[in-house]
Amino acid sequence: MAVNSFSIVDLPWLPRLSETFRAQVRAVEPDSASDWGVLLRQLATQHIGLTQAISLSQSLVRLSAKQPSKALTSFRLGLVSNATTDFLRPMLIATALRFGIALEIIAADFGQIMQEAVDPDSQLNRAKPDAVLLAIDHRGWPLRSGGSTWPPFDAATANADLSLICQSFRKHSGAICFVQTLAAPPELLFGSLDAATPGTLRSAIAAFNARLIEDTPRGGDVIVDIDWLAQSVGLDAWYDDRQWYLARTPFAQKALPLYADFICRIIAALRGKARKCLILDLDNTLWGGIIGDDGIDNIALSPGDPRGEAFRTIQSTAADLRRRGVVLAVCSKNDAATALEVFRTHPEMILKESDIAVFMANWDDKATNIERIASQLELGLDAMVLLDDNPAERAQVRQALPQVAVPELDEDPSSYARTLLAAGYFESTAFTREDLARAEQYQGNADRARVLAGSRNLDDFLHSLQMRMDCSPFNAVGRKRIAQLINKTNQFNVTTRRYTEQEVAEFESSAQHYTLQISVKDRFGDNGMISVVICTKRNVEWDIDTWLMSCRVLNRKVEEAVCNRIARDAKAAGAKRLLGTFAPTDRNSIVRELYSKLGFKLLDEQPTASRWVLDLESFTPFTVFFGE
Amino acid sequence: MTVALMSNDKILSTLQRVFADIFEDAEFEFSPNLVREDVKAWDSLGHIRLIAAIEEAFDIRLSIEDIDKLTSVARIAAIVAAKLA
Repeated sequence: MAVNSFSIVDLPWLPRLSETFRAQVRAVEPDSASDWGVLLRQLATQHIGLTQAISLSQSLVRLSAKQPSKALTSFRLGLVSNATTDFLRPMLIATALRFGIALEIIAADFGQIMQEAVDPDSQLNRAKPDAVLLAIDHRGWPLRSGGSTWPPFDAATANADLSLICQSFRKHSGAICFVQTLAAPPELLFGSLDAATPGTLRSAIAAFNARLIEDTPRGGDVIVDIDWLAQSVGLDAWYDDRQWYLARTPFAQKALPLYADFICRIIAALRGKARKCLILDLDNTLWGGIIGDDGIDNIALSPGDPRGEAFRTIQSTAADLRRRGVVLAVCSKNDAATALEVFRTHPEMILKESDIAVFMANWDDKATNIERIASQLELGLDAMVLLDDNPAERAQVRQALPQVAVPELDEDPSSYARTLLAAGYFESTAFTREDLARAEQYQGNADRARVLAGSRNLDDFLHSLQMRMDCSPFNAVGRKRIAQLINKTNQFNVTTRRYTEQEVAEFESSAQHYTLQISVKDRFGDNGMISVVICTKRNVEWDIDTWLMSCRVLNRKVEEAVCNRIARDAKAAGAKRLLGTFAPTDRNSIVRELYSKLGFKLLDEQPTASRWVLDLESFTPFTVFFGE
Repeated sequence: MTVALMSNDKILSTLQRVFADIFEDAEFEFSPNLVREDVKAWDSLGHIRLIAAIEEAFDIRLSIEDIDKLTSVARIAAIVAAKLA
């Protein structure tokens, strides 16, 4: 059937389901030419329904049993609900594949929410999941007051229950909670007055949500804004009472793929897999018409012109994304001078040349250009999103570079901004000072790459960067970012130990620990906090519990400078030796040689970890290029 | 679209496609005589999926009273035909 328009429940940014989907899923084997995780991820990156989700989740189980995939990151999600979760489980597992996550779900028995949370020996607490999804709607919270007098609804008990559940899971299993806001059902008791009358369901839900929005981030838990999701679908479509009566499904079956995508984005963001860079095509994407044919006076870009306004919305959306830290790049088949002239001289352009970190306008194929952009920015291809109106270009890039996200677009530019944002590529669970500066930092990478090309050697280059390093112990100001780095850094991370924000706060005042948060600036910009160290002090030995660094400052001798700093402070405190641990994962091979490079001696080697020691008496500090 | 003129054969062939999609790995032979007991995956959750798929395929809405009556292919076809008439 030909479909002429999509709504958000159809996940319009995804390619439609391939007719040979079933056969393709069945053909995936552990000995396929590519990693099976890559193949399943590609298959999950289309508009799948529950039937396809069931076969993908079965394939995941079948294939992981034979041989683990290196292309997927694991995540263990606890699930409690007042509703049926039978449909939800395969849908979540299949959708997580779309984000490169091998999801394992530990589901509590139907309705056992409070028991699972408060009992230290409950199934979920024993399983120690990474997070627990509280898939609870207004029918699962004690919002209804007893008795037959006014008011019928009140939020206080429900909010208290929610706090207790979050705290209990944290205490007994270490897991953070995904906490859902509630969507008010479309039935009103008075009418418009419901909003202003305490005691109505609408008011009680508003009060519950307001409190939840305040408490959840403070407790280190994560909000899932189902209220917004349901409203964007439409409350009348979201709530299907018939399905609730029949099978206790909490919302219309049709919204299941969207709900699962919404949850999996958050998991992806927690695992550092959110996208970071938006690559924009120019002709008929940022403006209407073809600049090379139509000329600068004839492209659609003006307020008052309906087509022009549609393209202006795309530009202002991109500008807003940049403001929150998404890096922008341009990739267009165009003559560079002609394309740049629009940015420099067209009075109605919202995006400026300075907003664009890498400007790639030439006649090479897009996949090649996108690889160039990624390498100049020192970002992975899996951090990229391409917005392009041309279906052939989209198909070419999807085929050549499946890691790049390429939203489907219809022929109407007035839908582009909404489709791009609805896809949730840039999901984030926290917003820090570093995020604000990030777009400039990556722009700095591209500038630095140009300087390096003109320097004689690495030392000259590093010297010319005029770098400054600031080190300080953990404190409340840095806490959020420290926790973000500890939980997201996979590559330059010697032990990959994860700590919650609460645990980070405890390190701040611990006398047994030495902590460092490190930030780096250079003449191209402020990189913000890029490295974190935690040492456990044991008399004359300091043991490095955690040492991680953002890969964007690799090859700058930051690790040497940090080693100098730890050694200096340890020595000053009377320590004789520094101990280090390297615990290999499938992501951190970059630090395999770190300790040997820094002059540590191997003490012991096991498959799960090697132990290293540095004698502080004989340690000579490294030559580095930082002012302090 | 001319759904109102859909013939009984057309209804059955559409239902066959729906059954194949929903109960894809189950072993059963599709026919008007097929009853719920013959299909292992046609449990209460399978029933919910079947209803959603039938509604989408025919662009109809089944009432909570219809739903209990959907116990065989023949009865489903009859209810669908009545809705489309």
